[in-house]
Parts: sequence; C-alpha cells; structure tokens
Amino acid sequence: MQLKCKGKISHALAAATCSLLAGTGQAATKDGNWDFTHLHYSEVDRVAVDETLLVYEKGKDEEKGFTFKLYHDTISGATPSGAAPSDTYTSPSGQVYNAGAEQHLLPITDERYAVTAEWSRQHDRLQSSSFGFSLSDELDYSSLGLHYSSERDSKNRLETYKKGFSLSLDFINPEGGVPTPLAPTTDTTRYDSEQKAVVDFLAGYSQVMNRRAVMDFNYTFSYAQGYLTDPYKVISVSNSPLQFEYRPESRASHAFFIRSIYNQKGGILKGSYRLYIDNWGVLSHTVDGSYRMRRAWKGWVVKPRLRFYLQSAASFYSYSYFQATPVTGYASSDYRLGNLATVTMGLYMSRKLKSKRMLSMRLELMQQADRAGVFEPVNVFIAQLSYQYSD
Amino acid sequence: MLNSRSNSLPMKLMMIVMLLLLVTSCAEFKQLKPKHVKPWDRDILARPEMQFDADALEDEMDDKIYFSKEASRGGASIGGGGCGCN
Repeated sequence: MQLKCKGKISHALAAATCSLLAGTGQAATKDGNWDFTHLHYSEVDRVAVDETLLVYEKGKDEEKGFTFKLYHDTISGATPSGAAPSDTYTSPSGQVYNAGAEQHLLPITDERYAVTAEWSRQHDRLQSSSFGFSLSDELDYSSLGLHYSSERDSKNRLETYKKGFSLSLDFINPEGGVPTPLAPTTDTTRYDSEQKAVVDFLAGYSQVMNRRAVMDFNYTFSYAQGYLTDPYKVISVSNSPLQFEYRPESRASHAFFIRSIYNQKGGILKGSYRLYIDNWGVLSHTVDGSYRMRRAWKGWVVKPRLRFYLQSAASFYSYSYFQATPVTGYASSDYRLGNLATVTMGLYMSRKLKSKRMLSMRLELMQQADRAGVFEPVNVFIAQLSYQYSD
Repeated sequence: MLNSRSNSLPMKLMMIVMLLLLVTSCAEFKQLKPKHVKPWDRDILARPEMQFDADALEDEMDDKIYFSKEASRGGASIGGGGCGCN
C-alpha cells in the first residue's frame, strides 16, 4: 500500500509516474544514497551520549536493494546505581525515610561500534522481503542479531500485510565480572560472563483510508531469556551492606501499535499510540504526535513534536528496600523500571539544499519523572543533525 | 509485595480493560469504511513525507533513546537493542 516506486523494467513506467507525482520526492537512484546523522543526548548532571550513524543505501525500492549502516557511540558521565545515599536510611523498623533523596551516581564510560547489513528483494509487483544481520561490540557487551521481514500488498495496493522476525544473542562481560544476584557488594565472587537471547515477532496491517490518510496497525511480541539483570545496579537494604539487584531470567512482552498520517492543506499530521504490557508487571501508554508544516520559513520545513509516556512499575521494583525482612526475591531500584512519566517536546527542521541533498536538524527537551514524585525529575537535552545525499 | 513474582490483580484487570478498548477501537476503524482511492488519485499518498519511514534517521535514534530510558520496547518495528544500555 505504501506507494513507493517499485523496481523492474516492467514497473519503470509506474516508478516514473511515482516520481512525477511525488513532486518534491526523491527520485529512485541506482548509484546509492548516503545518509549521515549525529545525535547528542545529554542528561543534566548525568550521562551524555554521542551517536554517529552512517547509512549507505543502494537500489532502494528496486528489484534488489542493499543497506549498510555503521554506528559509533560514546557514553560518559554518571548514572544512578540504585543505592540511596547512606546517610538517609535509619530504619530498623522497616520504615522508609528520605525516599525523595537522589540515588548515588555511578561513573560510566563506554564506546560502542556496530554494523548492520540488509538485503531486500522485490519479488513481484506486490511482494517484497528483506533479510539482514547486525553486529555490535562495546567494552562490556557484544551482540549478534538476525532479522527477516516481508510485505504483501493487496491487488488494488490499498492494503499491506506485514510480518517480521528477529533474533539477537547478547554476551555480557561486565568490568570485574558478573556478581551473584542479591549478594552483598562486599562479596568478591564473580562469574566470567553471561548471555541472553531475544526473539521478536511482528504482524502488521496498513490501510489507505482515503486520498489523504493512511493508517497502520502493528502487534509485536518479544521474548527474552537469560541474564536480564543489570550487573552494575544495586539496592539499598536495612542494616546490611548494599546488595546487587536481581531480575527474572525471562521476559515476555506484547506491544499494540497504531499510527496514522493525515495530509492537510497546510501540512501533515502524524499520530501514534502504543500499548505495552509484559510479565514483569510493566504496563505503558505512549502517545506521539507531530505536525509537519510545509515551507514554514524560507524554504524550511518545520515540524513540532510532542510525546507522552506513562509507565507502571515492574512488580519487583522499589526505589529502596528499607524493610524489616531480608530481600530474597527479585529486586531492583533501577528507576527505569519504576512508575515513570516521560514528556518530550521538540522541533524538527529540514531543507533541501542543492538537488538530491537535504539537511535536517532537531532539538528536543525531555523530562522523566516518577509519577509519585519519589525522585527528582531527570531533564534531558537532545540534538540531532542529519545530511542526506542521493548520488 | 515488592518481591512478588506474579502480576497483581488490579494490573491484570487494567490490561484486560485496555485490550478491550483496543479491540473496540479497531472495530470502529472498520466502520470508517476506507475509500477505494483510484490509482490516478494517489498523488498525495505517493509523496515521501506520506510514508511511514519518512523520518527513518530520527526514528532510529528515538528507538535507541527510549529503549534505553524506558521499560517498553516494540511497536513500530522489531529488533533494536543490541547494546548494554538496558
């Protein structure tokens, strides 16, 4: 249904028509497209991430296509360890004090390289598929992934049915070794490494609603098995040293996703909603919307964007464990598993430069907060600069 | 209980209610009766900005950010991750 220009000589006329109708669209190229983007992510007084991505794409929407991506990330700063400040708990009775205090920050630095390669094929006028792999390596983590997806249009090309599958095998080698879950941090026993496997399935359906609107429905199921604990995170407990956290060894999740694009006279309205649930007790709602204004300012396309996210805590999460009884089951104080609310607002701008070149940038502010105000909100600044070139 | 390995009853009920809401919304979508758009009327639909992958570079970076900083994943696509960020 997505009316891209499809390849093969027999479709050349359709492709040319698509390009002509697209007006401002990119023409299909045989020599390839180069995309470059750099993202800067910075939390106030915490962690900063710089990610660079280089994309080479050849034969897009033609009979055979190939896409190669090269990633480089650096991370530095500090991240909450899960431990409450030691001078805030004095609770032999199990009562929590100073629950609003900030968690201790753990210095962090890392560098990551990753590549992905994908081959796509247009089988006929209505069917296409793609297959790819990914490799990722950082100081304490390596990953190998495979993915496959296929799409089939209806005969009138107003509907598209999608399915996909991905598998990743991850190897965790934390600095100093893997600690025993729930062991006191004074315990020096360590394991060499741990592994986990993640499989994802997707089933989707897209529909042209009318001349100006399209809708998309996706269901994704994900299952992870293996070491899902964060080896660096700890929990604060009463009358005892800090303990390492402990998460379940498997996780199954479901995501229901709906999105739409509506072309108005002045611009394009995009909206999406996602419902996520998993067997850790996390339930979340995500609403994302943007409005793309055409030629808002001297040839620039401007797009304001707003995103809301609400999440309930994992069943084993607590900001701290100042309780009378010892902690013996799953436990984590990682705020990302807590009762989170995230708001993101931003502005995206893009402009065509010379023929086949485009520059785009975005600036966003994000705030993450505990819905009950247990910890101070985290403020984040996001900036991204992209340059796209069609040969 | 914080160490419980199972979901609480209110959480399960909330999930069921949300699933019913989703099914209901899908049923309403069916009633919207998508119009049959003739091939020669698909000029707007063919524009790059009308494609779901029009902002692929931004979407890819967003997936990484929110996968790292929130406890949810999936929806628009599958895969991702491959890093020790979560």
